[in-house]
Amino acid sequence: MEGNLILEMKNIWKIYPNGVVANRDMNLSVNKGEIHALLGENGAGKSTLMKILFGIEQPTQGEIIFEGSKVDISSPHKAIEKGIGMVHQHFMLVPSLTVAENIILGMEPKKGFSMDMNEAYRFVQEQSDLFGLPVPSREKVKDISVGMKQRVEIIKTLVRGANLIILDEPTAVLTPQETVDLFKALKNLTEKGKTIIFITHKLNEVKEIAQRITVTRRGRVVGTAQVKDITEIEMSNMMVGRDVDIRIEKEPVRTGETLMEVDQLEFTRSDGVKSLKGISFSLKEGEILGVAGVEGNGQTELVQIITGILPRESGEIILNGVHLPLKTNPGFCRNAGLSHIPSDRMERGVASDSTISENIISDRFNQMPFAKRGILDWKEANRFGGQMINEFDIRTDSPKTQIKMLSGGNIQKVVVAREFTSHSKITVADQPTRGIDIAAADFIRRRLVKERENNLAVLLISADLTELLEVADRIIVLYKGEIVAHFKQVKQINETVLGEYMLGIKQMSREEMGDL
Amino acid sequence: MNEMLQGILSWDFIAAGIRVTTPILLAALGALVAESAGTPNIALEGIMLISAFIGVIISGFTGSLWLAILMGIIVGISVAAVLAYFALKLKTDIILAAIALNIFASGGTIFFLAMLTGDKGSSASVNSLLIPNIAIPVIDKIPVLGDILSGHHSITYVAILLIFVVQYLMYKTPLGLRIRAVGENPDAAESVGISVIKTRFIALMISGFLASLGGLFLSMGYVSWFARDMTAGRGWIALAAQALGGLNAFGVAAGSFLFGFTEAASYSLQIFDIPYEFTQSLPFIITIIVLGIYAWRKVKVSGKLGPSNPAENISKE
Amino acid sequence: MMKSDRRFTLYRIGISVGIALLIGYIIVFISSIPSGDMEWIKKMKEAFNSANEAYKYFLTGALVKWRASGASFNQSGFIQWINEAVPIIITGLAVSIVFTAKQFNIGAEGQMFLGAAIATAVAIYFPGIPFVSTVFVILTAMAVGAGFAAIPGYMKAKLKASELVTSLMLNYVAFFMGLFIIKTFLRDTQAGSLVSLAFQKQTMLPLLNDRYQWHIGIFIALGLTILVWFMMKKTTWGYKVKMIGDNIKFAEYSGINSAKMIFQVQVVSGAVAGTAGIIELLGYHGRFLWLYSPGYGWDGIIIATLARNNPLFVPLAALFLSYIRVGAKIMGRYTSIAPEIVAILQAVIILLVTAEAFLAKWKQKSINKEATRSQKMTTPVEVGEVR
Repeated sequence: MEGNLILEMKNIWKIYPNGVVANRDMNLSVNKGEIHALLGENGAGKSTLMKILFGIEQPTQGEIIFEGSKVDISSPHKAIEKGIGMVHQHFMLVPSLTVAENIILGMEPKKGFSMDMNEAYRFVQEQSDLFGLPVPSREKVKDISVGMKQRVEIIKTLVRGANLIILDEPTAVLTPQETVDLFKALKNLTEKGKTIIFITHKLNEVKEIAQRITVTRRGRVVGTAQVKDITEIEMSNMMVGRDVDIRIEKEPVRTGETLMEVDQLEFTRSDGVKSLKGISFSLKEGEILGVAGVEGNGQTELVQIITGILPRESGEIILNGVHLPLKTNPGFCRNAGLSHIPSDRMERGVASDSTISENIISDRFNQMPFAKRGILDWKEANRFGGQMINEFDIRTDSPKTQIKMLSGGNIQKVVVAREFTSHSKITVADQPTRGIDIAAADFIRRRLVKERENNLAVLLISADLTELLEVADRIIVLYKGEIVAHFKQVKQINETVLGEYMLGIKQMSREEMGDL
Repeated sequence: MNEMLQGILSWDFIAAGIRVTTPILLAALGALVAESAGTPNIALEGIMLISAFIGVIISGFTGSLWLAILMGIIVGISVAAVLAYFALKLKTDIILAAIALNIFASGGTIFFLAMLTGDKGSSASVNSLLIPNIAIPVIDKIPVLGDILSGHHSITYVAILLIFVVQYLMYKTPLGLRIRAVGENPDAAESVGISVIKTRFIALMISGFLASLGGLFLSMGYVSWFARDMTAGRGWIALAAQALGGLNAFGVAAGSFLFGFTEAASYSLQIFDIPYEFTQSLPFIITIIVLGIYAWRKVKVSGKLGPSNPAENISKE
Repeated sequence: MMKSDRRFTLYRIGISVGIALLIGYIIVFISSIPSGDMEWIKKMKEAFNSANEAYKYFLTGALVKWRASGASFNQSGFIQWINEAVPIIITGLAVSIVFTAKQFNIGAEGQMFLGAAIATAVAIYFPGIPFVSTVFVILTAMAVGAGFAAIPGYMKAKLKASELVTSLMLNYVAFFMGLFIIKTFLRDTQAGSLVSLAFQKQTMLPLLNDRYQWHIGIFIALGLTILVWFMMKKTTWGYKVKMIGDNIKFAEYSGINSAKMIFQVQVVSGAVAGTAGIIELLGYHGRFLWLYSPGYGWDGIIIATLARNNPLFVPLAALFLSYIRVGAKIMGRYTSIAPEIVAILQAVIILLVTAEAFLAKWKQKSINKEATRSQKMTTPVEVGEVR
């Protein structure tokens, strides 16, 4: 593990056609057999650097030396040939094909002109045994769990002879237990001589699993270090250049009227799975109610139903005294005084080809002062856009900039600016700080707390347990479509406790949960 | 009414139906392959027209049937390759690029016809050749069955065969698996080293090949001439047939037969004073209604569409 | 980056047109190579001269009358140019509306044809009151176009059925229906070919030039342009259309009723497209005379694409297209080059103009140069050092 370099990336530059400079003169060196963490906020350039390594992107300048020789990785095909594999944050699987088909895709065993599927199944079994990663080879990918899908992804890289495996934020979708399993598997792989590059911005994971780290910030490499020689605070300093205080001062909670009531909410998906089984809770003004749970346990459906995107099957929802009809839409919920920060801002939260101004007035474009009798006042819209840019510290030149030119954190700030100025009484914040830089995340969390001080209510759904524990006043845990825990004294619990309920290991009784 | 039914349920009608279906079927299979790869090919109309033109010109000028067929196929594949190049390499919207090619086909065939023959509108002065029908020995001697099975056009037999070939290709071969993967999740295919562009190129060229056969059939099957816009919308109907049949060759074949026989019926019904405009628009109206029903059923079934998989929706940042 | 974006788009359009014209020239050149016994060089020279001659007519014929005695202003060519631009400006506007919403309703052709056919009935039978009956005829065409476009609109909005396929099918239905109506109810049995009865004289559009029948349709088209521009860029309705096209999930999330908008945008587009045909008939022909669908709907798609769906650029694109078409027809009159060559040029232009990657490398290089120049180099910080 010393001086035995498997990879050197030298003076890497990457400039995109729209002018964004993602990588500035970056250098990275990785030793054979180590787990090397690549740390940085989003927009810091680490994902792009790995895309270059895996051949998805081409560097504008710079060179890569792999296993001692200079290489030109012009495509993922080339990267795979060299023995580099990548497990992406978004799974690269074909849902309607089986696990085996997905694994052998591109290297299909043949019998004459056709595929030899028997051989494929045998091969997959053999490989998963070899690496200790069992998978259901005949099941269709759309039918298996998230943790299982990730395993399939890892096997995909291994069967193609990967010696260097890049993992892009792998624990973003896993439960604490699945994360433990993953780390075990990774250590196992390094013992077998494989090298791992682990992209993350979770400092505690770095401490747990990596030997060395490289920190990136704003497209540059800030430094490289041995994990044992550096503290979390020092790592965090390198990432943002200041101590990030994730401790948020809050006044003690003072609740008032009930603003949202959810009663016996039920929902069945098109594939027959009942994803919400009688959810009931209420949300009062002046409080932040956190919702914890591993992705896929009903949170998405819950959020989409409350915000009017998805029609519920049965149950009552009352927003600010207004009953939500069964056939509902987002406009209705907004009119009832609800605002929504969606979990996927690019999918739903912004119109990427439009300007900041156009995006920021999208929930009030037909009202004064932006429109009178159907005619838009663009001057006013731009003025407002400029005002929001200042108030929310959005890094851009003008409100007429196309929103896709901004970094993730700044795009999220536009979304947040809109939703927080919408005169709503309830805010549904779904993963509001996912995938954005620490400074922006901090800004948003503090704003959420401020909302509650203004006697508004916030429903906070987050996969970031630290965030939940710091920001929320109460927390409920969703597991398999049911509320299995309710914590009124958030200061008295920690991530481990939450994790046990999130995984269904423990469950509270009705009495224990009390008034939801 | 009785006469009408008799007219419809005759062997003549069935033979006509098969004849009308053939080019639609070929183009529809092409649409299937292209759609499976995620690159819908709406230039099938134009490719058919160009191949029809090439077949007539080559056979007329060289007197060689095989050369005409070969060139017709090669040109058809090439036009599809041009579409692929613009859509995949130069990032043109594939619908717009296809529309451009259709415009090129419609005007270009007339222009080059005029340039090469002096005719504008049809190839009357060119002595082009006919691709023959085939009588299958032995089978054609069987009473009743022999009439049904034997004696069809050679390209018709090829088309029927291609139904099975295409289905086999798509579901039993590595290429088919890759095409489907590329169509459903191109990122996944790319991540295992499959060239999405190359695979889509191949799929489009296959669709070009199939459409070219349809075009050759039109100008050299039962008639031996080329006329302005003689494809008359068959390329578009093929798209509708594929929409009905999905990504399954047998489904697409069924859709094609539906359209072919409806169109054949429109000719038969003319005799009974039913305005030809009505009967000609019938297949199109049926398509719309069927598509509507199809879509309506889909909406009913997936009315309770939950998020397909939340984990898949994690933002890219 | 927005300014250089626009500049490059302009360059790309310019270069695409240039390449298309060059290709056209090469084709004309090859067609003009004489056959028979001649030295190769002589053949080339002849072809060169013929091609130049042909291109002279092609590029200038709409405006210039070339005679042995000299060149003069081609009034009839000019008027033909303007007149022929009218229907395609209108269909271009119609298509730009739906394309902005990313709805691929390509039914402009059918909406126009049927709108013209049914409005013809009004133009024939409604008493000829200047202005009033003209307006009524146009409104009829609008209503027909709107109603017809409502079908794919409804099917997409309510049933999620592809508007591409349904609008395509309906083009054929509209064509057959239109022909049937003319043939059965409105036919002028005295005329030699299949045409409708003549329109009321007073219902026709006023003329700017009697001799060559330059009608005021161009002003109607330009007026529509301003109207559509205003609608799309300055009204809340236009804003909704843009949002639907940019990100439909976002539009819904923001409270916009997407199904309603999908329906409305297609209906409005249909209303506009419906008028394209009848205006030409009211201005120039005085009766319905199309045996084949004239293709204005398809032209509209080309024009909307060239204009990048910006209503203000639609007339420019339309005038360009119309110009080279008139030029091609004049070329066809004086040479043996078939005017269908324009179709080839159209195809090349569309392919190149919409090719996002065309010239992208050139754009990228200059962006790179800028970025590298303005970089401040920083050395990585070793752990332990204070920044």
